[in-house]
Amino acid sequence: SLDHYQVLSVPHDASVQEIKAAYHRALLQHHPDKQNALRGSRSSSESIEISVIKRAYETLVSPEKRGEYDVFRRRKDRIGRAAGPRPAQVISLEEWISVGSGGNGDEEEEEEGPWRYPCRCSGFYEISVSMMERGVHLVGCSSCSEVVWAGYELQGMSSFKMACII
Amino acid sequence: MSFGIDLGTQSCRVAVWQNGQPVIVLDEEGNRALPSYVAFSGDGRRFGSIAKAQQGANIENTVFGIKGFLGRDIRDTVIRTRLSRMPYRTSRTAGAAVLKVEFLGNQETFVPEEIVAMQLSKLRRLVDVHTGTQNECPVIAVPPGFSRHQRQALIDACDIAGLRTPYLIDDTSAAALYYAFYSSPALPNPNDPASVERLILVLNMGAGITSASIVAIEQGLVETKVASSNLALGGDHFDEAISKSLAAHLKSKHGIDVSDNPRSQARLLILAERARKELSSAMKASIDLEAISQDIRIPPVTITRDYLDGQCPGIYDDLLKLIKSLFQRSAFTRADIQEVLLVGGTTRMPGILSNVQAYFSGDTPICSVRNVDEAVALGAAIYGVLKGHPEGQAMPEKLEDMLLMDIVHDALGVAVLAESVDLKGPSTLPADGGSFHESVFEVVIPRNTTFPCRRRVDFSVRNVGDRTVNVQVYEGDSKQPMANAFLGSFELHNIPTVPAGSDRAEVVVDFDINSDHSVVVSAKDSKNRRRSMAIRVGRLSKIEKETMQQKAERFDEYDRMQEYRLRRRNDFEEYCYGARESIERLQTGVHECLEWLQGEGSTSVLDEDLERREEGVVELLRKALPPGYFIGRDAADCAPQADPESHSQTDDTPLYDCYD
Repeated sequence: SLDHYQVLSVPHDASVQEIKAAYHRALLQHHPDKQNALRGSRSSSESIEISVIKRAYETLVSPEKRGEYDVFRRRKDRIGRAAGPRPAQVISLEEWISVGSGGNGDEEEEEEGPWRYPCRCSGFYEISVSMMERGVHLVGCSSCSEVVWAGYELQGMSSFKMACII
Repeated sequence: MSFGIDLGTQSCRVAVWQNGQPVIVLDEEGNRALPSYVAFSGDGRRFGSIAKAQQGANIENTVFGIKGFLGRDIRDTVIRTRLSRMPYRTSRTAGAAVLKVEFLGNQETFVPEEIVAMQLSKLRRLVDVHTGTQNECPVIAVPPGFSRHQRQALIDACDIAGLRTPYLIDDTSAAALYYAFYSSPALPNPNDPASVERLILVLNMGAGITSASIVAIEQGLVETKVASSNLALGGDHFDEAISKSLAAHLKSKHGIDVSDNPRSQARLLILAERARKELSSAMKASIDLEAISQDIRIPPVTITRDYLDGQCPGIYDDLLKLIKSLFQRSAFTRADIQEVLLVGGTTRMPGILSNVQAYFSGDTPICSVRNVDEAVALGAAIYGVLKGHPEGQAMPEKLEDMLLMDIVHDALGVAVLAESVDLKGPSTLPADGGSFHESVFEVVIPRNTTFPCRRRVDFSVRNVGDRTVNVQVYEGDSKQPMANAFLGSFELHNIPTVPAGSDRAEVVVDFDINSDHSVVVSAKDSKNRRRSMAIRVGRLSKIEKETMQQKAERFDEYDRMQEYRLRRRNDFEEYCYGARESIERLQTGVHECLEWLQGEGSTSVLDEDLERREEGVVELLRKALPPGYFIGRDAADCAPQADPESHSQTDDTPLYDCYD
């Protein structure tokens, strides 16, 4: 899948004017209303969904959203380069279930971890405090070969969703 | 070929693409708008201005204002009161309005869809005559606030009228599309304000419905951002207010009570409408009440603009409320609007103009108000070319870079269990037969979302025992599913748990709206087993529609026969008058020649004079005979031109005549 810059085919340092022009161009190229026979034969390339183009445009045209997205994109690049396996899913730490020694019901203690998240293979992923302190985000499954990315950073960035990472 | 229709409560306009631009098609009388009236009588149907003109004489069988009843539930009290006020006879069956008229000596009943189908056929015939070709792909402009049921009713009307692949376009978007078409330069130019993005507000106020939308226009790209309609606000309200005060005047001053006389009420309404329109250009209008009563002489009443404004202050408030709602529902403010586009007959009223101007001029310096009545029909015609352009043909150059991106007006979503909404994680879909009381509406596609679009939402399943979910799709704003419009439902069975044997089960629901605004909802479980449903909401069954279509065809055929007979009769009449005139001229000419011949001796006749006289008579004779006849003066000239040698053909060539 493509990132927002690829969707609009603009460089990472494109100006707002360039992004607007690219958005216009992309719409005319990919909108179903514009796919009549004449154009259809010319653009044999794969068609991109309009909502994807619109999301890319809305993100890049707003300075705040674009800044946020750029940070996110660079981090994703780092993950991609540093670790071999590609994460199958991004899971916010909010969703992990503590399996620690929380027997006495004390909230503080429960946060000690470790935390688990079920894998679709019926195994689970587990992350501990020490792993988080070392900055480990990629966690492997206990029984299969899948890897997920865990972290708090995704909060508030949920609009980019995993689609951008994977 | 496609054509664009602005189907109004009070009048319709129709436009086609011709010679590189959209043009308005005129009716038989040369009017640019066709009143939305259909009159039934013993000798056929009448449409448009003819139907409207004869309304006073045929009040019970003249049907108008049907748009407001299309696809509406008669159980709605507003609709029921409005229907009961109409001068034609109505009743209801199965929640829908039915109109009863006397037609060709029979009692006939029609549903609103059938009446609209008649209007559409009529408009289509006008277009066919105008272009000389068959046109069956209409683009119909509808208020953005039309629900899916109302839209479907219109599409059903197209089916009944035998029109194929109808497209619907929002009327405010159509107006913006036309505006972009005639105002946008071909190439972007940073110095030209027309080539950079502009935000305009389109206000379309008709006789019965008012809509407003905010549209961004950048060269050919027209993006509707937010839109809203008030389906019960329009110029009709002014007419009703005037006619009410007229009725009160009649009662107090002349002792005439019209409250139980639908005929007089309808007349008052016509007089009120005329007076309101007059007040758009004049400061005061005089209403002639003579026709109301035969017994008493009633002097005319004069009303002024101030009086009119004083009669219905609530209308201006409602209008501003509608405009404000656009700003509430979007991130835009009044100051962002660079231009206001006024469309629709009622915006001609000075009161509307001054109220809108007063609202915007406070903090909007650049706010020119243009009045383009025909923009909706013209925009719809453009949309027809953009959507239904014949394959393999080059798009007209000016339209190549034009694109309309419209929005979904009512939120679409599913019913979920109320208890699951506040919990973290996905909401829970009700199981098979879930009770309505414990479910709430969860939005999947929010209102004002641009389509085409696709949204995917995860849902959980109530508990493992159920293993079945019921996906109930609704459209509307209410948290209460039952208060929204139900669009359909389907079930998914034997949903597997993930991981196997646990108590978790999930379903992914997809909403997919294509570029034609049709919706497909699908659901799949974790094993990728999928079920889907295309949203279709018609009230009429296929069989009902077919019956209605046959009925419509019969009436159309009858009308065509009547029209044909009338045309033939008129043609023949014209021919006879023409023939009489030519024969009279011929007689006079021949008579003159004979007189001249008597005056001249056989030797004194000059060759030139003889020739000139002869030419004159031949010319007159030529005019008196139908075209195609050949007149010669001697045997050589009588020969057919193709084969001058062959004299044998002379006798059996019918298009042949001569005198010696």
